[in-house]
Formats: sequence, structure tokens, C-alpha cells
Amino acid sequence: MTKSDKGSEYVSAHIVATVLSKNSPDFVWVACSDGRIWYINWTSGSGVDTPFTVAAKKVLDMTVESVELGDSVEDVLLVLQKKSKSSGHIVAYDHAALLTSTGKVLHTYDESPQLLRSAAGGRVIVAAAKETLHIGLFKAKRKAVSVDDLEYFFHSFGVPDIVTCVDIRPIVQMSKKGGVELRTIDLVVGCARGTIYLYDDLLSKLPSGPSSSKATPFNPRKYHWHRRAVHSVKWSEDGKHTTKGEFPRSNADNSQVTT
Amino acid sequence: MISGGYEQVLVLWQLDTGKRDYLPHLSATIENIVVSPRGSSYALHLDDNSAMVISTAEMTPTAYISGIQSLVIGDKPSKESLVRRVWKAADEISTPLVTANNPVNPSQIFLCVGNGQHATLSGQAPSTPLLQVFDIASFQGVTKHAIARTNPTDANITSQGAPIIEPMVTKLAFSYDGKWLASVDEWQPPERDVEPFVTGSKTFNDVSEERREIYLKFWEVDAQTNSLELVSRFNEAHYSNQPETILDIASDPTGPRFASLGTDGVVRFWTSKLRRRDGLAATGPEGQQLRSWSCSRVVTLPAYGQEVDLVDAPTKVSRNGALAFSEDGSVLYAAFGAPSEAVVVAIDTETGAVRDVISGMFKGEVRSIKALSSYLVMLSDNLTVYDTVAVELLYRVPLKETSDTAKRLTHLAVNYESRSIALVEPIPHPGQDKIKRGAKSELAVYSLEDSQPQLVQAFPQLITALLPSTSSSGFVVVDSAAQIWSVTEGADQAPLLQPLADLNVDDSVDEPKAIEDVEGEGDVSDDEMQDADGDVEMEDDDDDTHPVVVAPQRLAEIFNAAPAFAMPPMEDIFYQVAGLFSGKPAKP
Repeated sequence: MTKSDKGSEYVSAHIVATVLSKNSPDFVWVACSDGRIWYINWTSGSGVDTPFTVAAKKVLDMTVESVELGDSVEDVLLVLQKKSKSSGHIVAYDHAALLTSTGKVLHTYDESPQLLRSAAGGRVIVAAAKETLHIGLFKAKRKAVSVDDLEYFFHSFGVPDIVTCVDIRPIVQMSKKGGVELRTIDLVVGCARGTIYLYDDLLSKLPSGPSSSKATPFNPRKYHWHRRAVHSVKWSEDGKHTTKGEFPRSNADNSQVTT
Repeated sequence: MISGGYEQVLVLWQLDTGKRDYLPHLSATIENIVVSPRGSSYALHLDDNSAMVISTAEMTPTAYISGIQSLVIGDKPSKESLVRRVWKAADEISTPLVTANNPVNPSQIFLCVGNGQHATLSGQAPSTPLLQVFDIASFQGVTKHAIARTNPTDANITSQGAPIIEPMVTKLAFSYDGKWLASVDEWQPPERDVEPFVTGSKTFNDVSEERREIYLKFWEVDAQTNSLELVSRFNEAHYSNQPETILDIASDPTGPRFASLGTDGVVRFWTSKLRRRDGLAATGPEGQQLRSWSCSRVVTLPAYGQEVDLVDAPTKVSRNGALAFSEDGSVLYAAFGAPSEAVVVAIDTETGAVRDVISGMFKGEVRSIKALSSYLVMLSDNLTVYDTVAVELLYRVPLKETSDTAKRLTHLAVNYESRSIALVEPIPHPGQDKIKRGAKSELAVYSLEDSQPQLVQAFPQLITALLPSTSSSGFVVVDSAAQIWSVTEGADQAPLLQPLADLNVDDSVDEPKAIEDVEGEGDVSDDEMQDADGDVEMEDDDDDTHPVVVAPQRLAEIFNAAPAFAMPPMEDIFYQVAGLFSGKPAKP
């Protein structure tokens, strides 16, 4: 994918994220740090030559969620873009928005943003800055028709150490109408000094309404074995915590690749 | 919950009981973990450019894919660098990648690699104790073999928190028949560990150098399994009052013989002999005769203009050298000396007598010397081609002015089949002394007769290794993004060989580096197929001749079916090959 046709001017560009499409498993989304995003059929290799471009100084991370927009279910890309030296914003794009390169800005924050994760069909977004986590919850109002209708509450709180990796385990249940709703999330955070912090049942601990100030830090469970940075931490699929009406994880929330 | 990191251990946490399970001794730092949708397997992305799929039930690997594991210039700072440590990791590529190709199996190249990027970069010099066998035809790592001391089972960290560094393999050479491999590895204690020994006027560096460990090892290569068996090891093959660096080893192109040159100014010839135990020939378990290697001849190079230096004992003059056998194995050329003073000594390999001395060929440090029929190709700050029969300097090409680090990454390779010379020069990023991101390289191919390059090609990445391809007229290039490029010549070849050479390009064209996309593994081959025709071929005048895409392994099946003497008649081979190209395309 880092094809030679990029030429010399792209030497500093690199792939920041590769995510399997949630709706068509033959396709992957590939984001490059210089703002190009490819939609590639990995079985045939088509799409390599026609990247989309988002207007961003630098793309830091990307996740993909399948979100119901209007009548169809579409891949929505959540892209963490660098805004200035230490701040960034999370922008949502769908296929149409990519063509015009105008996404919907969901959240702006600073303190050197670096990581972005999402789960449960975009009902929750976790973005990490150096020692801060921002949790975005989907504001369920009317039915969204385009990405412009997506809106999130954001909460932020501090983590005792520099965040290196994050994984979300959403716990969902069937709502009375037969839909799926997010009950809570368990969040696990790996840190640069080898500690792993576990925030279980996080949503119940967050204030219910939107809050602008940093939430009071709460006590996570602490696991320390690694001597040095935790490079990756993931929830295993042990079946213990899956609830009835589990969110359809056709292509798993974990199929994301970080660098 | 599962986690992984620098420790090369996959940790499985049972949150309810607080118990931990470990899967230790993976080959490198875990960069990323992906859980399969059903949870039945984990995919691990390791930082030695490999990916592994592990089944969750048995914790055994079900798939393993590895790319070229040489050092790359990273795109992103590592997660380790977020916290300051007592030591500092190297952040540049300072030494060329040591490679060799197997003369009997042209599709395999041997590369000296470390235990992943983090471990390789932890010392001042890269730690590269492993030898990776890589198949450029199928683009897969074949095997990996430790040829120097490694610490795979220990916590690779001292009580002070500094990493333990591993030896670096500095030289690698195959014997002419591919049965023997000679390697040199070097290790010196880090300066922070030698403090108790510093006395008098010695500096840390001196003390550390005195405690250097330099080994010359001879390995027997099993052609089928690619396994290596250590046959002989020489501690301090070159020694004065301290172990001397082995500057170069060369292999005799006509027989099982190696030569080595050390900073002590001595050339040693190494030959094998039957191993004897109590007067009887020792045999292996299958009754095969065992051989061992020993030094058969020592030639002290005459010191020209250096007598004064040698008397004034603390010579701090760094001396460099290089070795090359002539193509018929009768003469060994040894270039040795202080920068700009080095001379080339021609040694008769039968008698050990010095036949000739050529001086004034080098400017700056000696980088490399190669012999091509009666010509000598020498690389220092100039590229010099010298005719030893006519005693005539053919031409001299000055290299670009760069920093010393950059100069270390100039490479020279000679292809004996096409009689061409390839030269690679690094182009550091403007304003940077060190070789970091943004460094590029330029490759130039010269012929023996002409000082004008036949080809000049700039590469977007730094080239870390250059080696001639064994079966064709081209060169193979490895760059700092762990990609392989093939440079081939289109002109003047036998018609039958032409497509073969072209298809060799197909094998190894521009591989997207897999280090940062596990998902990308599927794409790799696709991109490759598309690129195969146009991108890298330097002379594209033969592109149109063979529009049919023939898988190279098909051709290999025909040509490698039997050894040369047992091959079917030429006519049959011709029809088989013609059938491939004219009949139904192998790959629609």
C-alpha cells in the first residue's frame, strides 16, 4: 500500500490505521498520515490508485463503525486529525462526505491527541491524549440521515500515566423496541510505564449530562506486570461477559491495526 | 484481558481471579494484538516485521508470516520512547545490513537481523545476532538462525535498567559451493559497564575495546533444511595486544577456502580438513566425514610508511581494509592501511608470496575491493577501477561529500555475469548529519570500460544492503523500509534468458512493507502483481515482447528440475518454455 508511486514528497507519510470495513468484509480502509484515505478491496487490490483526501494537517488515527444513516447502514469513518501543535479534532466522514472532503467535527481537544477507538456501532468513542481520556457518547435523538446529524457528549478524565493503548468492551442490551442500546462499557488502558488500568462499568460513573470540565478522577483497578510500555492490550472474547442481545460483531471491534 | 509489550511475552489476565498466564519467548516485541471475531484466535503483530496467528485454545501458532526483518527507519516514535530511560536507544541506521546470497540457491538471501527493532537498536551498535534466510522468489522468511550469542530466555535488562546488548554480525561469506558459511561477530561491553577497569590514562573507550569479543565462525549449511551447524569457532582470530577487528573475509570462488584480514595487518587463509579423533577420521551419525576449519597460512602484510606508527605504540590511527579473491582464485588482493595511505597487496594464494603492491588508489577509508577478471574495483571516497595487467588506472569517480556516518552506508557490488559494477551512495536528508528519516540513496551502475554510469536511479528510501543476484545479471537492493528492489539489465542477453531475467524482477518488485499493516498481508501479492511490469524495470524496451504473465515458479520448475548434467535435451526445454508463453496464460 505504501506504493512507490507516492514519490519522494511523501517520504514522511505513513499508514496510521488499517481497518476492515464493517459492512463489506472484502474492503479495508487505510488512512495515511498525510490525509489520504483509501478504500481498498483487499482480495483484488482495486482502489489503490484512487485515494480520498481529507483536508488535515496530519491524520493521527482512524476507526470505522457501521452506523445507520437514513435507511441504509454505512461505514462511518472517525478520523482523529491534528489541528495545531497540541490539539486535534475528531471528524466523522461517510462515503459522501469523503468525496467532498467535508466531515462533521465531533469534538476538539488538546494535550497532544494520539489514539482513537470506538465501539458498538459508534455509540461510544474513546480518544486518548497524553494522560487524558475523552469518552464520547452518542446523543440519540432523531434518526440520523447524514454524518452531520451525528452528535456526541464528551467527558474527559485523567489517567495516572501516559496512555499507550486502549480497548473498549461495550456491554449492550436489547431495548424494548428491539433495537440495541449501550448499557455500559469496560475500558482497559495500557500505559507507558507498564501499568494497565481497568475502568469497569464506566458509564455509570460518568455524569449523565454533558460536562465541560474534567470529571473527577476515579479509582481504576490497577494491574502491573509489564516492565516497560504496554504496547497492546485487548479484551479477550471469553464469553463470560457477553450479554444477551449482544451487539452484532460481524467484524469485531478489535480488527483495528495500530502502528 | 490480554496484553503484550517489550518483554516479548503475551500475558493473559484472568480478571476475576487475578491470575496471569504467560506465553513467553515470542520472537520480538509485541506491537499489536487483534482478537478474531469469534475469539478463537489471536493475531499478533511483532516488531520484527512478522505476524503470527495463535489459537486461543491450545496457545499454539497456526500461521506465521515474516517479512524482511532488517532495521527500518520508523515512521512513528516507539511507545517506549514516551518515558525517559537510563539509556538511550539508537535512532539512526549507522551500519550497513550484512547480507550474503547463497550461490546454490539464487532465490535466497541471508540477512543478519536482530530480535526485532527495539532489541536491535538498544545499544550503540545494532545487535544483530540472528541470520534470517529470506526467499525473494516467494517473498517469505524461510528460517531464522542464531549465529551469535542471544539472550532469548532472559529478561534482557540489567539491574540498572539498561538493556543487555547482543553481538553484531559484521561479516558473512559463503564458500563457492554454498556448503560453508563463514561469519564474524563482534561484541564489546558498553562503556557504562567498564567503569571499574578504567585506570591510568585509559579512557572508557579503550577499556571497552580491550574487552571486545570477536569470533570467526565456520558453519556447515544444510542445503535442504537451511540449518546451520557450527563447525569451528575462533576466538580472536586476529590478535595483537588486544583482539583486533576482522576487517573483511573473502571466499575463494574456486574452492573451499576463506581469507580474513584483521586490523593487525595479517591475512589468514582458512581451509578445511578432515576431522581426526585418535588418528582416525571422525564421522557423523550417518557415517559422513566431518571436517573442521583451521588457519592454513598467515601472511603479514608489509607495512608501507607505517613503521613509525607501529613503534610509537599507542597508534590511534584507524586502519581499514578489504579483501577480494581474483576470479580464478590464484591471487588474493588485500587493501589495508590508514585512511588515504592504504595500499593493495596482491598475494599469491599458492605460496603466500607478495606478488605486487599497488599504492595510491584510495582516498579516505577503504570501503571495499572487488576483483573482476584482471580489473580491481576499489571503493573509498572514490570509486576506482584499475587494470592489474596493463597496470593502468581506467577511471576514477569521486563520491558525494557526506558525513562519516553516511559514508559507511556506501555499498559496492559486482556482478560477475554481466561484468557490471553497482555503487550505492546515501543522500542524507539536508541539514541532518545522521541517517534518519528522509534519507535517500542513489544507485549507479557502471561498466568496466566507461566512467559514465549506465544507469542512475534515486531511491526514496535509504539503501541498507546491495548484493549481486546470483543467477542473473542484476542486483538486489534492500532498503530501510525493509523492501526489496531488483535492478536488472535488459540489453544483450540470450533470448531465452531474457524472460527469465525479467521475471526475476517480478519476484521482488517493490514490496509494500508489512511492518505496519497486519491486514495488508493479503494485499501484498496483489500490489506486487500490478507493479511487476513497469515500475522498477530500468530498461523497458523489452516490456512488450512478453505480454503473457508467467509465474516465475513455472519457469523454475522447468529449469531447476534436475542438475545441469541431468537436464532433458535443450529442445524439450525450449518447447516447455515456449508452451508457457504461447499457450494459455498461467495467470489469467
